[in-house]
Amino acid sequence: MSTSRRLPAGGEIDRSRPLNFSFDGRALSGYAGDTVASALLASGVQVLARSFKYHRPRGLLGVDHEEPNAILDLRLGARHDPNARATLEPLAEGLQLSSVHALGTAGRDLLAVLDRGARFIPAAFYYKTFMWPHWHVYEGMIRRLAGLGRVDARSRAQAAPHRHLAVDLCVVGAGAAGLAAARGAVAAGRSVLLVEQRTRVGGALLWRDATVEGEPGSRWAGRVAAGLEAAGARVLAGTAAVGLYDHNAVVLHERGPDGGRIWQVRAREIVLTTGAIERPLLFGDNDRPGVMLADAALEYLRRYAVVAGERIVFATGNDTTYVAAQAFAAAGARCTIVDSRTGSPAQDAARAAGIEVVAGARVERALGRGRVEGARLASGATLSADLLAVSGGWTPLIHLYCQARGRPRWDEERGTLLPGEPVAGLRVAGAAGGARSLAEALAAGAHAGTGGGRVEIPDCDDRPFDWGGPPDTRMAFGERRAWVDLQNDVTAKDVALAVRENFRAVEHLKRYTTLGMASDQGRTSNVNGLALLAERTGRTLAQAGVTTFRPPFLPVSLAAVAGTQRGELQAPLRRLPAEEVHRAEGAELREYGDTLRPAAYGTSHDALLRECRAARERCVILDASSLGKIEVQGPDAAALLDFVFYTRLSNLAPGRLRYALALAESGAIFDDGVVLRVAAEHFVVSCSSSHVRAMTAHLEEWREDRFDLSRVFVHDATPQWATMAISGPQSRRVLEALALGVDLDDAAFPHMSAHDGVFAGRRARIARVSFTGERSYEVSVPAGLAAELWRRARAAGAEPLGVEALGALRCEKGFILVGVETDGETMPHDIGMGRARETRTDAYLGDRSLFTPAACRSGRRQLVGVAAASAAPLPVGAHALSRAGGRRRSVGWVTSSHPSAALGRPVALAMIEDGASRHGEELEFEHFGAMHRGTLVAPCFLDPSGARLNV
Amino acid sequence: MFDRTAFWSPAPDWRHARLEGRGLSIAAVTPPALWRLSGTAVPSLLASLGVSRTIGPREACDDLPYALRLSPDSVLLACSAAAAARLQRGFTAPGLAQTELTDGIVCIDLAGPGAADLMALAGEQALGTAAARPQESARVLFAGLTVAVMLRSDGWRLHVERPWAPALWRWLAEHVAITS
Repeated sequence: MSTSRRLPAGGEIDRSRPLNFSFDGRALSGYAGDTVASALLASGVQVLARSFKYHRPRGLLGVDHEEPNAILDLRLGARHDPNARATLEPLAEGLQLSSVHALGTAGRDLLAVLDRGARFIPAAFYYKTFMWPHWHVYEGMIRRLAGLGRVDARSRAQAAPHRHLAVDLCVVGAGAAGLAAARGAVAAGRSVLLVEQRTRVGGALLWRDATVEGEPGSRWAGRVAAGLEAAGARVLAGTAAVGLYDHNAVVLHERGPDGGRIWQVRAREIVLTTGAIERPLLFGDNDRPGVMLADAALEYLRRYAVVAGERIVFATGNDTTYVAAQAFAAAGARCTIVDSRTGSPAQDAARAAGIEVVAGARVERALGRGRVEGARLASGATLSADLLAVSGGWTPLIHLYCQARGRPRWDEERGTLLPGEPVAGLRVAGAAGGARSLAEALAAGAHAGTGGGRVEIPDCDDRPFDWGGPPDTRMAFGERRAWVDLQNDVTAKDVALAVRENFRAVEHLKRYTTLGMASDQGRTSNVNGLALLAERTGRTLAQAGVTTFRPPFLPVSLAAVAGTQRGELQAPLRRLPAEEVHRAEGAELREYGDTLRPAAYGTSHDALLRECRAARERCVILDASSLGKIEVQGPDAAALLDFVFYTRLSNLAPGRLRYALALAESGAIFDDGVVLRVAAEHFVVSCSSSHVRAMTAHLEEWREDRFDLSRVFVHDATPQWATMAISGPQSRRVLEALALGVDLDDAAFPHMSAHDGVFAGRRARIARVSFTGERSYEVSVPAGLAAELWRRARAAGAEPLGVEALGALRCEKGFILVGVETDGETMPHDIGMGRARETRTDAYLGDRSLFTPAACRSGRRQLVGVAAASAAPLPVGAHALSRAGGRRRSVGWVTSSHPSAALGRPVALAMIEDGASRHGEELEFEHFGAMHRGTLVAPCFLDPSGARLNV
Repeated sequence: MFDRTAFWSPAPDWRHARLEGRGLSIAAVTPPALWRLSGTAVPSLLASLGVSRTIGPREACDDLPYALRLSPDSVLLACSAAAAARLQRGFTAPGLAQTELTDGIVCIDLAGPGAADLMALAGEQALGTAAARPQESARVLFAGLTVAVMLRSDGWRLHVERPWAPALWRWLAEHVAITS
């Protein structure tokens, strides 16, 4: 098989395993070991994509994660990735690749015409144009013209489960410094994880000449990695550290099929040896296909045996490019170096090797339409070329350092940002730390790994590293546009525009132009952008500042983030102990907070009305097992409850229950429930189903804050008990049939009292408490007997009641649901429970907040009932309107609304300003443009005297 | 109405629930009695029941009775029915609060050479490391749920609140089937 750019030998590819793939319908081939990018480059494909805004043709700039252009749509079997990065994607048999968001193909995009109107759509054009009649008229079209790949809603990714790991030392980056750090740490007896983003360890040793400990650098790297694994260290290649979080938590993304895998790592210490990436130069049309970073071109040559050009112009201002030039010359390419410097030993050595060097010169613009055909120098001279290999200096990868709240500093001599003040638990070494040579990188890595212990530094043939100095902006504002951020299509002129419009702060520049905001996080653009900003605002680069790097370092698919937390595992629910019988009875199960509960028994709207009628006329049974049952025990139990609850509870007699409100410190209602006093030093707090954990934590927090821990204890006993609420005029008859060993006479068993009984030979607790307004009994038995209790009660005549019907019944009675009638501001006196506020003199949680001016002002929203004017229920969320002073204003809203089987008309609750004093007033209610009318009434629509509790 | 019945798989019958795979045998087990005990008098009560120490997540134990450390002053006791007969609900003595949880906790045993690897999938803490830590709570995050874990000679025992047990079982079933 022959390709136009592939050398006949060399590289890391496996020539015995050819692989076929396609790009934009064109059949191509490569080898195992290729990336998609190297295979495309080897096949002579130069135009891979179209730019974000102007749809300009784009080719490969880089070779790894710094690549801004080569984002492709990838399909392989069931796998679909709309934004696959060609430089990171291993080549596989049968890959189908397409260019993204081109109208046509990357090679022939009908939307390329947009570039002709570029002057009308510079940076931030959308803040000034496309405004009439309003932006949304144009937004859809503009979004379709811009952007990246399109999601295929039919595709399903199956990512691997997350893995967890705790280590003494996590080393990020397995180049020379990282390998030295890991080896030193292992020798010191530490547990080590070494992470490498590339598929092989070695970093730049894989493509740059070096000798370490007497052998070629790439071989040394492999040997050290094997030794690390043999010593028990874990080495993860093809894995990127994408986020660094508090307490040295590192999130890794291991690439693989579909989404790959997330690793969550805790490390006592982290060493960042993440290396440095090359910066592009700023000159006209520097985004043409065929403009490539010089070091990237060298890596394609050495690792993939791909010669990216035959007539190569190297544009540079530093010595590192000369290594690449000599390598390409040795591979048979005709090379010319255009060096902005006027004299250096590297220039002399290159000339001696037969390479043409044009010193003291700069490239003004790239020549060619769809691809590079040459370069024009500032002098006016032109050079023919099919590859412009550029180097504008180097930028250390310090994203993770910044994520750890490290503040970078500008280093004028190197011309780049380096880590500033150290961050606890984190060390930066190697090129990422500004090392000036291979020897310095190895030493820094070794020291970082041992953390001050005995250090063994690998010897090497020292190779100095020329950082290249600050960015050169002299060619940035020529006749042709110079690109700064290729991925977001931001030019040097856009930076100048932003400064003219007074967006002079680096954070404003970023947001106004979107420079550095693409998925490459400005790897090849940030420092160049800072240099332009500094120049345009008359500041130094140190003064220009730097923006923040946020995770993830590389895009991570949501499938990887989710891992196996899909479907039921995404948000697990609590289950009722009698769920099997509810399913058998044909219940519709639904999520209510964190619990799966029966919404209704049957699928039609009539089920709700049927269940409500049964509750009012006969007897129903509701599975209330999810309600909290939190035990508070000890001599100070009463005191704790008196402090935590707004309602006094210490004067509750044993065997009695009381409805109580718990407040937050703001005075707002935190939760409500019923508290049972079992004995003098033993209470059971029942709270909202979805609030059990919060209420337990709330009680525990105040227990630990204010009380002697040996005198009061909080135990969540909710899981131990199944609770069935048996309610209705015939409920006593059902209780008699259950034969629980309790005297059910009302004199012995009044409303809001409780007794112990026996069910199936085990202890049961029966409480008379009602949430429907009917005579009701809550029977609690050990959870293992839940199904049996349900069956026996059903056999005795109780009919099933779902949560939806319960909602309607309690609405008829004006009983609130915390979080429905109440919000973060609702206080007890807003719902008609202001008595404790007036009478309690002891301290309790939230007491002072109940007397602030805001708590005492008029106009507070208060609980009311609303009688709808029509036969249809008012919509929940409908706003009550006031038109006072000719101005329409919301004065509250409908919180609950249900049809009432008992009353034959709808009932609703609402929170309305000064509602308690406005009974009888008719108001308008608006909901998404539809108008309704209703009259404010007392919240209790049915049996306000409570006589039905004892029917 | 929005019916989610089919989305959520039914809870297993704990009497017969078993999973095999990934070098693991997983089954629900039923200790005769489980109690939450809190207070300064707990150590002397435990001693009277034959429990000489409380255990965290790194100390191995195979037999009843055992007491898992939940917080500095609170344990989860697993014991025989005979021993439980000596316990009383409520605050029965100075420094002793007792709550029965026999029906409220589901115990699941993970046995086999794959147990350590499954624990690494499920939790953040490296529980496989040998050194015990004084006062460490046996309550950990396992598959996103709060679970009290106990190391055994053949694997681990998980203690999970009954309402959350089906979710935990679902997670185990899914991950036992994954080979990578």
